[in-house]
Amino acid sequence: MSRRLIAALSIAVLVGSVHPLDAAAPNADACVADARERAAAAIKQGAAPYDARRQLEIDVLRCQDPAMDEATAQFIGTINADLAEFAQQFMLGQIDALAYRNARLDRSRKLRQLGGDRTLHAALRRGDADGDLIPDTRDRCRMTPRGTPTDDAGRPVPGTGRPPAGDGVDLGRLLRRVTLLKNEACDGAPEPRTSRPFKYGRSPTNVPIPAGSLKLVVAQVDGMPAGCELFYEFRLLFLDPVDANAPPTKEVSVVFSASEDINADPQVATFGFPVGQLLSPGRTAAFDAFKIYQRMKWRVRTAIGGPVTSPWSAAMTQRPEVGGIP
Amino acid sequence: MTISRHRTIAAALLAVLIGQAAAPVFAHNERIHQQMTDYAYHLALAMAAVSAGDTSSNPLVAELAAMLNEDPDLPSFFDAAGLAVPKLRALRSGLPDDPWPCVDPDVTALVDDDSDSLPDWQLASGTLLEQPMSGIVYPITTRYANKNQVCEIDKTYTPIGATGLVNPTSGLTPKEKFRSRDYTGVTLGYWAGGPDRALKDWVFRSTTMETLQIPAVSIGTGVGVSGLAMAACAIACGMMPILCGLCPAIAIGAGIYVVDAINDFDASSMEHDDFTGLGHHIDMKPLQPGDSTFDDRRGKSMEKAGPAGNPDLLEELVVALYDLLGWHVRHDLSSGPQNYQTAVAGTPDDDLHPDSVPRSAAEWETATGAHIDYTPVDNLALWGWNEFKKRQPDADPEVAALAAPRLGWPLHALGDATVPMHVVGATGFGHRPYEESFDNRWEELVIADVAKPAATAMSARQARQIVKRALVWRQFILQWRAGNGGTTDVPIRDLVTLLAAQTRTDAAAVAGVYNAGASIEWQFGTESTANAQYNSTALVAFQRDKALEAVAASLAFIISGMEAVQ
Repeated sequence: MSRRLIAALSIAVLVGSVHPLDAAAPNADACVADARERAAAAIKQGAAPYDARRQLEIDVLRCQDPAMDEATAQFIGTINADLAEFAQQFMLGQIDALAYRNARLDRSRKLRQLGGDRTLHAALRRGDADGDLIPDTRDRCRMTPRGTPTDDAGRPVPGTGRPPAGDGVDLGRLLRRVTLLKNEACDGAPEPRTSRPFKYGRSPTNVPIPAGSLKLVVAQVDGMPAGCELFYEFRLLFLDPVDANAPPTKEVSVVFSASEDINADPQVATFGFPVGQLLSPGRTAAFDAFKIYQRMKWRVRTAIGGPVTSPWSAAMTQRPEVGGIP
Repeated sequence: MTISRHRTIAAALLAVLIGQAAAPVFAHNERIHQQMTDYAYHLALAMAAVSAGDTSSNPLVAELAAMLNEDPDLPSFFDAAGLAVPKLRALRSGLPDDPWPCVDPDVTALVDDDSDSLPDWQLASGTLLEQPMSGIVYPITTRYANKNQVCEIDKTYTPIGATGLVNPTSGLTPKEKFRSRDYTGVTLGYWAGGPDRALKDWVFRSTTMETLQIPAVSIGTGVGVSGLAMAACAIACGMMPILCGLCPAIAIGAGIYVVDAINDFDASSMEHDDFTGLGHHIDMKPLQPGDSTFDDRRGKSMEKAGPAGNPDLLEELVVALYDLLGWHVRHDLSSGPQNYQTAVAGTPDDDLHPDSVPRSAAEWETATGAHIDYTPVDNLALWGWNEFKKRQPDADPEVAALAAPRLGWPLHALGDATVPMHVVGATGFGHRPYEESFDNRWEELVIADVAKPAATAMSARQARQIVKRALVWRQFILQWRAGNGGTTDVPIRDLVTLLAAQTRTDAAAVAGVYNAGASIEWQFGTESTANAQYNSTALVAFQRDKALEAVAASLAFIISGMEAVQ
């Protein structure tokens, strides 16, 4: 299933109604799923993203309401696709917030005020050269730039939106603190095997990480293609606090890359929480909890840089390894 | 068979750099709702004690007794409290069994009699669900039977401030003492958090969850990972952790992996904490010409969010996310449209407040969730209140006659109506930083800790102040009743609406309440920096005022509400 999901995630869209919807679709979920499946197939055939999204929106509307007039579905579906496109352009910084707001308010207004105008919907099917949702037969300006608000005669009008309230926060500066990466080397990789917890405890020596650091030891998983890095996700439920003021349990999730394995043994992977180093929020929380709680119930699963994970391992409840983990 | 027919594991790796802890846009703190309710209940207890003739046994009752002559309506208000308390204590708790063991030995020592690590509830008969509130012998937390796999009993519980004086412990052993308090307020407060747990209220589907992956922008990356950075995905993941599951991504920042979770995701039927709050707003701005609305006061409308109807950048990003992902309300699976569109005119529950204009399934589903008006929180209050009043068969004990759970809905609405962002339909404008800073200083605002010298006296004076405010709400209710044939009902929609109007007026008078930059900082920057923007003397005073008003309105409601109970 995960493999199929990868395929579905590769931008599912469809051009044209090559597979007309069953107007009597008994199950909207199945109908929408079919629409997505057709979309996935179409995108593989090179469909333009906007055209494909628009058709998907139209199909989904008719899944929800099989009785909806086809021209009306096209009108509303086009608006939903336009809104998605404007949103994407805004998020990618291709248009600014004011241009985005004006564009989306224009489509919102047309949906609200023209959504019931079946004559207009039918006329749109005969032509809308500039895609402003005003049919050419009514359009006094057939070359309106994309996203420009218009009146009901298709004439550009000033946007009704004001710039977003606020004090000009540097959104870009903040967003640069977030980075997301996809590993293309994992495309087509098998589902990683499940690991399992072995033991946890403090490091008794200063090599390779300082004494007192926390270590988690699990079964190592291999078999990934070259360059497809493996990750281990841990769910740690800390039990039995020694501090009477601490909550009775503490649950923390942390993820490690296989490249962070500090153990050369090919059978096991060891991950450390080094003392004195800046750790991620999850790792910090885990290390702090380790100092307070006497036992830990934990499990692990593996993942690769795509939407593929192993099943979770069985949970294991343990105390820290006596004498530490060399 | 297609992928989306199944619950799929869209596993991904959440990438959040150090210093950023993403959290839901619409999150609320159930603990505060619980505490507000518990505080109100304890004040009712104190008023009941005064009504019964105790005017001097402790500083709290002495303080309240001293105010009796301040208003001719106060004595009857106190008497009403005296009648309300036993009725509240007689309500069915509605608490489900929580089968999880108490792993904390301190808790076990307080609640376990037979060494099975499970709390012994001391039930004389029947189930915990059917037990009257007076029979609930432990203070549960908001995570009880809900979000944790351990028993959720608060071993550290103490009533707020001086109110502990009217709910003291008795007995000799710690266990006896722990079981001796009245936990009616705690339990009712648990239900006041109930709307935040109502994940079925707003269920969404995504037309195209995969949109986040396009277009990707190639960038250079570190060793071992070729990469694509996705700006849209980054924004989405930063704003709503639920969306991180959409991003087939891993993160590297300054050589440190900072991924902390891998999420599962089902795009066909999305229930999440992020969405429950959509029905928890009531927009008190005057309607503008051309505005369409489905209630006398609309609920959240992203297009009109904010104190002046001009959404801020965060709201704009939320709108963009909904549109990009094609997020639509699932009318067939969502309880919100069904429960919170009101239609009580002409029924015994008619409160003379305008009903909703009903919307069809298509009207809810056609546009994305960014372009519809959600139901207002006064409707949520009314639904809960009417459900509470129903005399339902005992076969369904959670909503059986006079069961406590649904009473939590109006109490929750009263709490939300004192949050300035909830009364202008705003996700941004400092919503989360305001609530978080409020939550962080709650104990300070209500003088919870009376260990310090003079704190008990200060707390008692605060109690008096709250009762005085509650009297105003009580008088409003009495006037409404007098104008409506002497009914014992409570105009909960009017109450919530008035409280919200007051909140909006007060917020407009204090600079800095609405702070768009704080929301952006909170989402994408540093929470502490964002929250610090609510540390000024004026803003702390504003928060204290709203805390007291929420408790006051809750107090008036629970006392007056019990008059509708025979």
